[in-house]
Amino acid sequence: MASHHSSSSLGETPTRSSLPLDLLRDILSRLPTVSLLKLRSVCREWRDIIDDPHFAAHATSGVESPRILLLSQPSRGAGRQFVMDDEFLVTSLPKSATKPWLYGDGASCNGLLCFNSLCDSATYILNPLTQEIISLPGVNPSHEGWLPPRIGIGVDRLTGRYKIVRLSCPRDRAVPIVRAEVLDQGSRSWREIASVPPSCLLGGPVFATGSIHWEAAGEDGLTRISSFDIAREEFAWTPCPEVRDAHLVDLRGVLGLVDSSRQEGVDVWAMEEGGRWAKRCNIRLNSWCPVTSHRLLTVLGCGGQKIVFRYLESPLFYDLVTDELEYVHRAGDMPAAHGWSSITVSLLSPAKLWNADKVLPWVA
Amino acid sequence: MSSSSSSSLPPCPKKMITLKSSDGETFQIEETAALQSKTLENMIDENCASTPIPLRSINGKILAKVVEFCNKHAEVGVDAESLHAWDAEFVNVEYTTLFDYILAANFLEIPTLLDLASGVVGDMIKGKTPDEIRKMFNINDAFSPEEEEEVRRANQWAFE
Repeated sequence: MASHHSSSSLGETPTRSSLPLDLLRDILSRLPTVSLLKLRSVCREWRDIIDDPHFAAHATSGVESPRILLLSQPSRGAGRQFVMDDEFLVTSLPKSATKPWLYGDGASCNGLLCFNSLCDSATYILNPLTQEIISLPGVNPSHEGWLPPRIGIGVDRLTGRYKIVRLSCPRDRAVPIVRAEVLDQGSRSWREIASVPPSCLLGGPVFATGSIHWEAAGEDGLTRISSFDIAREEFAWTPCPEVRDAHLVDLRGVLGLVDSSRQEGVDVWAMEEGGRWAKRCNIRLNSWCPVTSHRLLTVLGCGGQKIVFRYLESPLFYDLVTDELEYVHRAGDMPAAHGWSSITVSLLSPAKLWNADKVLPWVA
Repeated sequence: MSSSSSSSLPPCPKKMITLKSSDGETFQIEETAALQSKTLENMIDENCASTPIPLRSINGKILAKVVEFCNKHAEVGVDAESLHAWDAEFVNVEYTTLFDYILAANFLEIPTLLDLASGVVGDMIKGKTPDEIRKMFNINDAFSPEEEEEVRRANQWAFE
């Protein structure tokens, strides 16, 4: 593969300054997702590289760290809201999503966010960065008499394919059945799987290292972690430090636990290779004041290199690198947000992954 | 490639190999420095490096710089900070030269140089408009105005 820059002589074609595709792809994969979004408009070749799902997932895993996603109601008259910085992604939701989703639990993985409709049994998948949303028709009319299902999304690390898992319980709690179903990437129908979670799951899930993790209630209020292995399609307990009422977070690709139940301070745990937990840090809140009661402290998740809490409607940042706390009193900036979670942005297209022919309008 | 059977090299404290550029220039490089290139390492392992190695895709100007890079990175006792500063100076060149570094580093499989030059090109791209990028990469298959409008409209905020 000789690429000769023949010395320019009269009448010759101009020196071609370009790179083979694989090298170009390598350069682009180092860039933040927001830059890629702009670079889609360079030419068809670049757009096709950037839109390729394998590229999108790969780029995300290397460059991006999670942001706190704040979803606001579309407000009448006002334009769409969209603000992004290193720690936050604030966006107004489209009308198509607000009605079926009353900001219950959603799940996210590589920039995709999914939730189950409260109106029917449809599943919505959206990418809040590219503002693409699709709905997959519900196929199970027998969901009457069942509680709204819990949902999780993750990617099989070997095949690179996405799976959504849905867990349903009957309203009649006397019948302790849980039904677990999987929706494969590109598929329209849920298939029931044999493995079910061993106990009642709490809160929104966190995807990390090939599994979707949920908090679960253990004995005496101890936190347990129930994990769904995406490749094996099995639920199992993940060992967990002895903490109460702790909150799972995505610590830049590593599963983290934030324990804010103790008055002395907030502990941050991280799961290391081999499943061992190590205490990453202890955040002392008392010396530094505005937090008068830990009951008012909510863990939002990880944004950039910070863990973000909500305290009295304002964000409280803890920087994992500098060990500094920052209380940003800016209630005005924070929209009356309804959805709070962590997300790692990407350019993955829900419509392409699930072969959806119809994309819902994002407009409020 | 035919293997030469001669093994009559005089004992020498520093083993040198010879590289030949597309325009016929030859360069001597110590074997220890050349080992940063996986391509050259394989040739050394297979005893194909006893005669000048022809590198038909790399011209003399670029090969001189690549040899300089390998020598610097093979130096013993250079602290990370000064090497970093040296690297920054090394890639402080026109983007066309950076492309040549990338192509050479890819052909010779020198990951440190490939990473360095690719990173700098990435940083350059970040700060440029789509038009400037098209010029830089000599791209002619741009979108039709309608298509471009569509790509832009989809994510208007990213262009602000």
